[in-house]
Amino acid sequence: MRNLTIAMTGSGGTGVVALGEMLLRAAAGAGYYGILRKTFGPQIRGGESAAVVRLGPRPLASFCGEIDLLLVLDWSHFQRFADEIPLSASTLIIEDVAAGARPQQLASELLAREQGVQVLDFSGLAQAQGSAHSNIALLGYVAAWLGCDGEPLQSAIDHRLHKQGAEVVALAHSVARAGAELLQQAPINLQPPDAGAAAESPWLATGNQLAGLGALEAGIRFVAAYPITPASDALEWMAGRIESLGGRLVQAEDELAAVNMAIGAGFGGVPAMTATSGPGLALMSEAMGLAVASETPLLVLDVMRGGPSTGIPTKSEQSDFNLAVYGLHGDAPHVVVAALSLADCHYSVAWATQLASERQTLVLVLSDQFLGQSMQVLPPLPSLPFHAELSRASLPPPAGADYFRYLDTDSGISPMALPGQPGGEYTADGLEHSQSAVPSARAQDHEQQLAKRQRKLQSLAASTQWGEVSALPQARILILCWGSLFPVALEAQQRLQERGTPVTVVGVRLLAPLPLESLLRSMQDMAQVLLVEQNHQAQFAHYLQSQLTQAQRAGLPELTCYSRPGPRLFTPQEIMQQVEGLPRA
Amino acid sequence: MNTALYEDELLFLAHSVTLEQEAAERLYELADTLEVHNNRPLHALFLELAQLSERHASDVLAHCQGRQLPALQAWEYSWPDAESPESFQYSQVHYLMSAEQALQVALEVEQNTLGFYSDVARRTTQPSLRQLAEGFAREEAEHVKAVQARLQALQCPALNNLDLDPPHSPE
Amino acid sequence: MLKAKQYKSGVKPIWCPGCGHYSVLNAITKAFAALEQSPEQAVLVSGIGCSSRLPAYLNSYGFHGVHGRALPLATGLKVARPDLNVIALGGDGDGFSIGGNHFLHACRRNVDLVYVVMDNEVYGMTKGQASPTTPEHWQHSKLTPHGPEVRPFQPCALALAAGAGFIARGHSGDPNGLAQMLFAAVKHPGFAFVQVLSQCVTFCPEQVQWKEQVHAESVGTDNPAEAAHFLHSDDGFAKGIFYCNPRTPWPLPHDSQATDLREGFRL
Repeated sequence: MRNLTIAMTGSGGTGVVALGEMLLRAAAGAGYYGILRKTFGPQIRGGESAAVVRLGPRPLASFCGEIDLLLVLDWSHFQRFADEIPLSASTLIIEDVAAGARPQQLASELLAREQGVQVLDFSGLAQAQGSAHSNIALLGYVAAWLGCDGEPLQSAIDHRLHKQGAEVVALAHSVARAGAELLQQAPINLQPPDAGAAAESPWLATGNQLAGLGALEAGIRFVAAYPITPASDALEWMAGRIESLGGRLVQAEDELAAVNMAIGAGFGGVPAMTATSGPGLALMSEAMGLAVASETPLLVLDVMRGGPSTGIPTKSEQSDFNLAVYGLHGDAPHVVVAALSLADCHYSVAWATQLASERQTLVLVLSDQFLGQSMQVLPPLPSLPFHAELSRASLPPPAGADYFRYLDTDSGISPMALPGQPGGEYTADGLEHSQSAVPSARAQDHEQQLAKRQRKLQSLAASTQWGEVSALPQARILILCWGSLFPVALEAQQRLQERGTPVTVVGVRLLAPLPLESLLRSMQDMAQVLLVEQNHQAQFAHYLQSQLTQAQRAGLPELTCYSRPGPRLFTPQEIMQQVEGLPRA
Repeated sequence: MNTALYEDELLFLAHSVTLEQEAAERLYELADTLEVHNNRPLHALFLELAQLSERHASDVLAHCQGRQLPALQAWEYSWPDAESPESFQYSQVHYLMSAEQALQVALEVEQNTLGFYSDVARRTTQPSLRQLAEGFAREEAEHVKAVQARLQALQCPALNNLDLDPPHSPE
Repeated sequence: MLKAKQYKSGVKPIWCPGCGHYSVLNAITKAFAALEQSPEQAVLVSGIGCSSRLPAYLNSYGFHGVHGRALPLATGLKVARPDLNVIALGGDGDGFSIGGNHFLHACRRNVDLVYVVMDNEVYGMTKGQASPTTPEHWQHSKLTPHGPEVRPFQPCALALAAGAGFIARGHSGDPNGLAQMLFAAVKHPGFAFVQVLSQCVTFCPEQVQWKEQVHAESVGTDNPAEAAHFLHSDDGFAKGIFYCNPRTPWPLPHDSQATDLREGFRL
C-alpha cells in the first residue's frame, strides 16, 4: 500500500502546473488514485509555481509531510516554497540541465545527500524535436516510470492540448515519447507507488468544481458572481453549465451586488447562491443579515484563504470561522456548514442548498483553497437526495386573505408565498416586522420573530449530517476537527493505528447550530480530546468552549487545542506528533 | 385645455366623476396621514370632509346612471392644471396644521371646482351640458358656502403652533 | 380591471403630511391601473430611506432590502423571474450615494427594470443630511454646517453616460404626468430610469416652490448626443422623457444544449 509524493517546481512558463495535471490524469488512467495541489506566486503569468502530486492504490484525500521525488525545471525562487515542499534526506531530486543555479541554502545540503541530484537534459530532448516544452519530456519520463506512458499519457496530453491543434498535440506526443525513452538510460532510483486495481471509471475533479456540481444538482438555478481567488473557478464551472439547466449566472459589479442579487432571486423562488472568499464575505455580511431577517433562502460558499484583509489570497487557511459564525449584526441565527473533504464539497453544498430553501435562511458553506483548488482522482460520486425544489414544495400555499408571511409556527418555518401567487402578496423586510410582514418596532413582535428564526434551526443540530465519525473500538483519544483537516486527521488515525495508538476522529460538518449533543457523545468515553484547526486564534476551539455549560465542561476529558495558521498545509505527521505529545491519562 | 370637454357631455361627466372621487381619496389619505402623525382633531376633520366629498361623488355618479362614460387614463383628462381641481397640492399640508388652515385648503379646492364647473357652463354651446354644468356649479357653490360657514364658526384665535419637537431619525 | 386605489395595501404611510412621495405612490397606482397590472405579478424593490418604505403601501409583492442595494436585489429577481414586472425604487441618498455603483451598472447592464428615484436632495430618515443631489450651498444640516461645498451631480446625465436606454424626469406635483411616464417606463424594454422631484416639506420646505420652477420639455430623442447636450444645459427642473433608445435587454437568450453535469469529471 505504498503512496508516493512527487513535487514539481518551475517558473516563467516552464509548465509545472500543466505537468502536474497531465501526470495525475495519466496516472489515473493507469489505475492510480491521487491528489494534486498547486501553489503559485503572485504573478499572473511567469511566476514561480509548484505542483505536488501524491499517488497510490487507494483514494487519497490528503497530503503527507514527505516529498519522495522532486522534479525541478527551474530552481528560481524555490525558497519561497521551502515551507510547503519540505525536502528530506531521502527525497530523490531530478533536475533539468537548464534549471539554473540551486538555491544557496540548499546547495551544500544537496551535495551532501546520499541520493545526490540527478541532472538530465529534458530541455535538450524537447529542443531536438523542435519544442521548448521540457515539461512534456519530463512528463514522458516520469509517466514511463509509473507505467502509464501508453494510452493514459496520450489521452492526458490530448485532453490538455487538443484545443491547440493537431500539430501541437503530435509534437507533444513525440516529445513525451523521447522523455519516456530516456528512462531506459537513466532509470529512477526509486520504487514507483503501488498501482491500484483500476478504479471503475474514476473522476478527476477539484473541490470547487464539486461544490458547483453539488449546487446545480441540488437545484441552484441562479448564481451571482464577483471574481475572487480562490472561489472564481467554482463560479466559472457553474457559468458554463447553469444555462443548460434553464438557470442564469450574473457577473455582479461587486460582492454587495452579488449577494443582494442572490437574495432577490431567492425571494423569487429560484434557488440562488454566490461564492466568494474572506474579503468578499466581509462585504456580504450586511446583506446576509437581510436574508436571515427577511427569511429568504440564500446559499453562500466561502472558499477560505489566508487573512485578514487581502492576506494570502492563493493559500489555504481556516480563518473565516469567526466571520462565518459571528459575523452578522444583531441576533441572526443562520447555518454554517464546513466541507470535510474534496468529495464532501459536493455533499455539503448540496445539503446546504436544500437547507437554505427548507429553512428559508442563510446557509454558509466553508470550503478553503486546499479543497477548492486541489484536484483529486476519486470514485464516481453518488447522486444525493438533497433538492431545493423538493423542500419548497413541502410548504403549504398561502391561505388567501389570512396569509401571514412570518406566521409564528411551531417549527418556526412559515409558509412562503412566491411572487406571481395571488393572495400571497407581502413585502419582505429587513426591518423587524409582525407576523403579517408589516414593519414593527414592538418588543413583542421582535421577541416573537427572533425566537421563531432561532427555533427553525434548532432541529438541525440533531441531523445525521452533522459530521463524520471514524471510530476505533479501543480508542481513548479523540481527534476533533472541522473542514479540510478531516482527511488529514484520518490519515493520522491510520498511521497511529499502525503504531499501536488507536484514535477516533470526528469531523464536524455542521458548525452552526453546533451539534453539541453529538459532540458530547463522541467525547464521552475518551481520556483525551485533541482539537486541531488551521488558524492562529483557535477560533473553533473558543466557540466550542463557549457553548458548553460548566457542568458539561466538568464531565469532559481534557481538551487540548492545536491550531496554527496557513499557508503551510496540515500534515498527518504534525497531528500525530500532537497526539503523541498529549499527557498520558 | 382640451375643448372637447366643453362640447361632450359624457367626457364632462367622466371628468366630474374622477374629480370628486379623487378629492375623496385624497382627503381619506390625508385623514390617514394625520392619524399616523397623531393630529387627532385634524384626522377627524379630514375624515368628515372626505365623507362629504364621497357623497358628492355619488351625487355626480347618479347623473351617469345607465350611461357609458369614456374610460380615460390618468393623463388623458383635461384639467386646467396638472391635477384635477379638487386635488389640492400635498405641499399645502403640514402635520401640525390647524383646523383653520385645513378649512382654507378645503375652501380653495371647492372654489377651484366651482371655477371648473362654471367655466364649462360658460363655454359650452350645448344646452344640455350647460344645464348639467350649471347644476354642478350650484351644488359646488353650496359646498363653498358650507366651508366658509365652518371657517367663521371656528371663532378661535390663531394659536402659535411653533413646532417644539425636532424631527427624529427613524432609520 | 382594477382602479388605481385598489392597488394600495391599506398600510398607512409614515411619510410626513405634505411629502411628495404620496404623489409618487398615487402615480404608481395610476400607471398600474393603466397597465392592467395583476398585483401578484408586480414586485416593488427598495432600499432604505423614506421613499423606500413605499413597497409596503402597495398590495403587490415587495422587498424592502438594505440601504443602497435595491438595484441588485431587483436585478437578481428579474433575471431569475423574467415573468415579473420588477420596479426598483428609493431615494437620492440610497440610489446615488451608497448605491451609486449599482446605479451605473444597472444602466449599463440594461435588465428590463424600472428604477424610480424620489429625489428630494436630502436624507430624511436620518434627520436631513446633504445627499449627492443637494445644492452646493445648502446649509441646513448640522453635519455639513457650511453646506456640502461640492457640486450636486446630475442623475439623468449620469444615467445617459452609463448607458441607460430610457431617461425621464417627473415631478410629484404632477402625478398624472408621472403616471404616464411610469407607464412608458414599464413598457420600455430594458432599464428605464425615472428621476422624480419629490419635495421634502420637513427638511427642505423651500422645495414647495418646485411647482413653479418645473417646466415640461418634449425632448424625447433617441440620439445620445442630443440628449447629452440637453441634459448638460438643463436647469434641473425640466420634466419629460429625455431619452428613449430601446436595445435588447440583458440577459440575452442563448442556445444551450442539455449537458450531463457529471460528464466532464469522468476520466
